[in-house]
Amino acid sequence: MKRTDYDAVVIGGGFYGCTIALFLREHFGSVLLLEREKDLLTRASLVNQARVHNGYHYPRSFVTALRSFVNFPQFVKDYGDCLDSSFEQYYAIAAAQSKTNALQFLRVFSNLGIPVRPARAAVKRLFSRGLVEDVFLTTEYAFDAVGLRRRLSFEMERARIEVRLGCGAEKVVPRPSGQLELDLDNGAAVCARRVYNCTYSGINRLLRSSGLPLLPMKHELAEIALVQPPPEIEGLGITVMDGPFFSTMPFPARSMYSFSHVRYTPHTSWRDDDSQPAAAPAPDAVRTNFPFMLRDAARYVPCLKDTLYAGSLFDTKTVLLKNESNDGRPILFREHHGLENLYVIMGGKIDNIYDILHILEGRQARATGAVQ
Amino acid sequence: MSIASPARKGGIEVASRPQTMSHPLLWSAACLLAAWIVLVFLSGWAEARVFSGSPVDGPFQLVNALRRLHAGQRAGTDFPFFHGVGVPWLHYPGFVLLGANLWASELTRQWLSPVLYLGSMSVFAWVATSGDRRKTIVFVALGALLSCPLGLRELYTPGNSLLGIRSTMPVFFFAVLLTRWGAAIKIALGGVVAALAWICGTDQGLMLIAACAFGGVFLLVTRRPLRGIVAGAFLTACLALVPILALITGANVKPALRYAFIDLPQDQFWFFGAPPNSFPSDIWSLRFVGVRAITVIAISVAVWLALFLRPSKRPDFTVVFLMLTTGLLACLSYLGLLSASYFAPLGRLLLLGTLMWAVSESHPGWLILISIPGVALGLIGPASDLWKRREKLFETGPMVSGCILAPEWKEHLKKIEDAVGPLSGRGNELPLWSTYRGLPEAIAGAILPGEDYLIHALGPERQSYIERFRNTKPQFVQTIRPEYTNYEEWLRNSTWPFYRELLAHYEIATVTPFSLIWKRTPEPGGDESPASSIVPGKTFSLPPGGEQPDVVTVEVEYQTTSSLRLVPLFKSLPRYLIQFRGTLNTVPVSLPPAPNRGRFVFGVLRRPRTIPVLRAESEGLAPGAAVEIRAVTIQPRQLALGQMQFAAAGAH
Repeated sequence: MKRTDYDAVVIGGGFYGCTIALFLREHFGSVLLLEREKDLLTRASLVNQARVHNGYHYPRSFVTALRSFVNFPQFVKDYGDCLDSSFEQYYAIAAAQSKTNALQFLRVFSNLGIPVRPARAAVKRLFSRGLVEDVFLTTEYAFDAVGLRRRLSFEMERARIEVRLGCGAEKVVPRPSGQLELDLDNGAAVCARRVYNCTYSGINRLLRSSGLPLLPMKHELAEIALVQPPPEIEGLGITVMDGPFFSTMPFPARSMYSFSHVRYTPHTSWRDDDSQPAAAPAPDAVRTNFPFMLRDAARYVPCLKDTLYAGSLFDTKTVLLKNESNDGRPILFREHHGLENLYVIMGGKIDNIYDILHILEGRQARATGAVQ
Repeated sequence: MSIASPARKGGIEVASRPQTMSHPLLWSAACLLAAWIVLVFLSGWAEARVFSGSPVDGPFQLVNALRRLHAGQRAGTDFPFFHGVGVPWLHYPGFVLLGANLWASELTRQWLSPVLYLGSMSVFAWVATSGDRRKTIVFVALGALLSCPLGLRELYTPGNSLLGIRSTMPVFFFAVLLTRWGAAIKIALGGVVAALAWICGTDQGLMLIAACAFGGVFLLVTRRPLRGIVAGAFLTACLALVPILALITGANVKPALRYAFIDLPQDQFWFFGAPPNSFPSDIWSLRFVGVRAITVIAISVAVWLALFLRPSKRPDFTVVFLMLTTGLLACLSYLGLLSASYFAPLGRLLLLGTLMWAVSESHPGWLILISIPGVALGLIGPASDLWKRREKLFETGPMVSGCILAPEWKEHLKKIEDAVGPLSGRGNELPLWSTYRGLPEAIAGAILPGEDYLIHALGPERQSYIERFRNTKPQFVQTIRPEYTNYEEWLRNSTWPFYRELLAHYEIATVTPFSLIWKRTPEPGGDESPASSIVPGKTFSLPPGGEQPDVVTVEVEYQTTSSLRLVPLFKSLPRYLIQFRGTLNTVPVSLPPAPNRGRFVFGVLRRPRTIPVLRAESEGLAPGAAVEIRAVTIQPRQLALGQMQFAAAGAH
């Protein structure tokens, strides 16, 4: 018979959920992780560019760039075996429509101490001179979501964290004892002293079914195209900044390249609000935008026209509405959200996990101090 | 039309050549002048209608002062006004008549500068042409049209520092000298106008009075025309200054005099004339004032020397000599900082002198020559200004304090209200302390004690400002975003104890397009590490930064030397700087001169995983200047996650 009482339950088996479960296990005796899908790290943790940010994406948001820069070496140290660092990552600044110019880009990152160098002449020649102001060589890697899944599964098993796959939470309700009760979608129920909602795009779904206040979120159906790049691009990653441009870089989980475009990657968007239940369009019903992505990208890097399309990954990308007006990172940490000991956690980029762990450590230290 | 040139100027015969001025020329001049006026005033109206002004300096420097006057406070006594205590009073009638809100202040600010620019020019032209209406029209039309090509835009628009208004009174003074009135009237009126010139523009007025002092002595010695009048006007100005100031300040002249004559000059060089402002670091750096400034100064010096060396019986020559003396003295500001606009008051006086000679004495060849750039280029500047603001003419939207707010201002206001709560009607209960008070305070109707701008807390007031902040313990604090302007870094360098206090008790609640809004934390932030000494030297390193950026409060004990330390004005020429390498700071720290031992505290933002290197050096025109660092103590402080945006220096 399965256990029904836990110190902590984490809902969501993505990278955040797994890492938080491991953190919690260091402090609590029994930790349960629930994942609605049949395996860990199959949704947002897999369907993204797999970029380990080092700050370059955020020349207009100092704190975001700084956090990436600070977290990058830690991530490389902790998950080095799940990274692809074998390629050269280039950032190009578009000559028109870019919100940042090359000088600003260079100045911001040089001042922060983030490595940024002019690109080799051979690489610069890949770009259309009239459309690109300058190109810089940066230090940025790609993570392998499959490798991370293997690694985290192993660590959770070693830490004796109970993982229930294919099992989601439908509702959370308080119990008179002060515990929280979770109704699961298989009809069972579990109790916990604390519950962590790490379901990314599903956060409001659980909150709504539990009658709790929703969080202001916007969702997009995002397409990440998987491609085989032309020989000239092999071993390179390319990101054109800072506006409605594109990016292509290695995607280690499938041994291919990802291809995304600021304008064409989002297919449709919707918001959670009290009157209208959130509903993601079925990815199967969506036609790929890759031809549009490629046509625009080939204007900036002509050789990209020879890119071979292999398919697309679709999933829901979620952003906090507060981040819509700037490029700040969507980091969310809500403590006692509507219920005592219900935590809501979300991070938009993989390396933000350290910011979340930092907060959790602070809370834990405070709680320990209070007990002492 | 025949021109009846003045037979006499100042009671002395001057040469005149009757000329004819055709009606087409006159009408052309009148039409061009009318077009110039329409463009300038329409542009000003558009700017006031949709508010997109700077949150630092400019608009709010005036709004704050006008609101204080409206609440019954007195400039110079209850609050300082950096550019002269009379400046807000000049704007006050317009402010009250138009509704005493932000729009009223802005429209008055936008329109008063061109009104006084054209007004003073018209009076001068009227007197210089002995009341010839037609010549006056041509004079003013040419003056207006030549203003932009000569780089005098800062005079007919408010700019950032109301330079046009500050340098208006000297024009009236020279007009008085050119009248045919008797000597006694000229002395009395000229003296009062010279005193008013100081009241309405501290620096420009002071240079006028200094020019009168120098001119008075020089003219007496060389027995040139107007010598008695100039000397008499100087004495009258000195005598009139205090009574006029007493009238404005309510008989409390001491604070205003102290601010203008002690606090401001003391901080003029090391504080205002420090990076990121350009300052004369060496003789070649003077080229950064620009080609127009160099040309105007060179021509002025040449004319001035000619008038200085060659005695003339013509009083108008004496007036031009005094005008150029005043303008050239005003250019001494370049010793403080190399602003492109500082030559403009001299440019205006040179232009007036040239027009007086060409128009009133009817030198048709010269007239045509100087008309060409005016006619060809004169409307381009004002038309370009209006074109840039064309959308503001038709913009619609909700009004805030009489203005439609530009999008970034709407966002700014919304974010502040989200953090602080509704502003309207809060009055002095507004729990917000701004280093640059502005729109939130205006909407709340708050008239708070102390300087409205931290940068205006000069001399000992700087410490008082920090003490007041420490004692007030406001719930919220607004500082300028370091990415918005690098002057925020400059302010941090010069008033670090304020920011040190801020970091000890506040975290950032929200970030607006212009500012950081800090909220007081229930408990003090992480403690500073204990102070420790490091080895001093011309170049010294701090311990390396950790994984996160943090701040290190550095206190240096130092001594400065300069070969010109006993020469007034020139003793302040050297700048003693501490340059950074391997830090997030980008703006060097400027140390006040300290011939004996001085101490100065500043903050260093440590870049993660980097060793900061600091280098002390002197720069400037004075030879033999040096700075020696005798001792260094440091106190690191961690930045909380909620304070991280503070480290965004150098990202502007």
